[in-house]
Amino acid sequence: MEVFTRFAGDFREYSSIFVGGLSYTLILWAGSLALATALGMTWAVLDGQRVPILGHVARWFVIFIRGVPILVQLFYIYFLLPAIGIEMSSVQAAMIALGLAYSAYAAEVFRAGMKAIDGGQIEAAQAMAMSRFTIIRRVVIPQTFTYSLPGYVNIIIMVLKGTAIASVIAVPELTRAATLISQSTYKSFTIYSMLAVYYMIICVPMVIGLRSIERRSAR
Amino acid sequence: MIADFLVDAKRFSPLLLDGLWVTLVVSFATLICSTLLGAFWEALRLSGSAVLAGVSTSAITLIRSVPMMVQVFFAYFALPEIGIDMSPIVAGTLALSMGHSAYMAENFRLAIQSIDKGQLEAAQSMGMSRIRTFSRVIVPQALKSALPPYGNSAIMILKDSSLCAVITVPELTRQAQLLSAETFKTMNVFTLAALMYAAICIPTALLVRYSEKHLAGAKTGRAHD
Repeated sequence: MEVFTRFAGDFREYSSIFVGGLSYTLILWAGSLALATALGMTWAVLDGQRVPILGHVARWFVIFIRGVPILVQLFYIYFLLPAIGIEMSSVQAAMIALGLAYSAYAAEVFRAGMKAIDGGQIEAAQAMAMSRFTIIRRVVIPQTFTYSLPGYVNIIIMVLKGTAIASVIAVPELTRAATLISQSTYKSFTIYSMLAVYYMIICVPMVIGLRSIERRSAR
Repeated sequence: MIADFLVDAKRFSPLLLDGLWVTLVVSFATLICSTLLGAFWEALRLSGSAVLAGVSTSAITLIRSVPMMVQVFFAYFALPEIGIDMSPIVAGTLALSMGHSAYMAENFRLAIQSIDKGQLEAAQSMGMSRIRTFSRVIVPQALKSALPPYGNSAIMILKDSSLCAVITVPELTRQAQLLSAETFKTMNVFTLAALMYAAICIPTALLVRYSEKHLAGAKTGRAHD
């Protein structure tokens, strides 16, 4: 019992620092997710709609990005961009690296969703003289989102957990905040348990939601 | 620029290949441990006891909710405080195994659920015991449809083994970090490291995609989170 009281006391004591980290985690999550969604949909459209040349570029980009660890990509972007004269904060670098990395995973999800769209709809749109661009914008993209919902929720969770990787380039997000507190207080067990609890508070409802979406779409 | 890269590649390759070897050892150990642990979670779910199934589901949900990076930190920095002291490589392997066991369990669950219910009923009506049904009807078919997602998990594990760099396991990413700090040839070093990862992951991924298309009844592998 005493252990719990102590944990609760520590939880209150350090919560302000954790909440500060949480805000960076959320910003990074939103930014990376927006980038990953937009780019992922772009790769999926280019590849799935067989756009000449660009379609192949998109496909190989996705394959290559998925073949390299995100940590390596993050180092690459963080150290490389300044070398070619592009200065940016660690938050911006992390957002770009995570956005690019997860765009490849999102593209796979969207590509699979795109395949589920009935070909007759495209033909119908063509018969109504819609241009290729309009068909993609009005028919393909909205339905791709619907069909790839379970996979996309998965991506949302993936990106949130991926933000922890940004701690290695000193983005002051949750994991980084925890590392700093544990280094100064030597209460590693308590601090890292708290950290896990913070992630669980956000992720557990999403994982449970994902499961029920999967159950429904499996039927 | 390319000549420069090739010179560096020759110079740095031995150290990076040492790192790659550690990466492969960690990944292989993780693959085995997470398979066993994942099978254990799935066995709990199928045990027929609601309590055990609940334990399995909650464990999987909680594990999936915590970033792999945090699990690695936890194993290396937090566990020694309660008396579990491990070398970096053991702590890293343990954390990755724990983290990936949840995805392994999900792979197995989806594979088993993809089997037609009618087959179970048929087996039952023929008087086959539960264990016999499991070993003769479910497992052979589930193995087939679990193969592509299993391959995806293997790739994921290989890539996640890079997280062990942060707890000083001398694997590929860590070696690249050290080399780039020493030589300031960041771009060449990390390009080389990225190519080494890609050289293993891309052929495996293409193989997975091929097997997805050609294994009848195999479901598309799910993306990991």
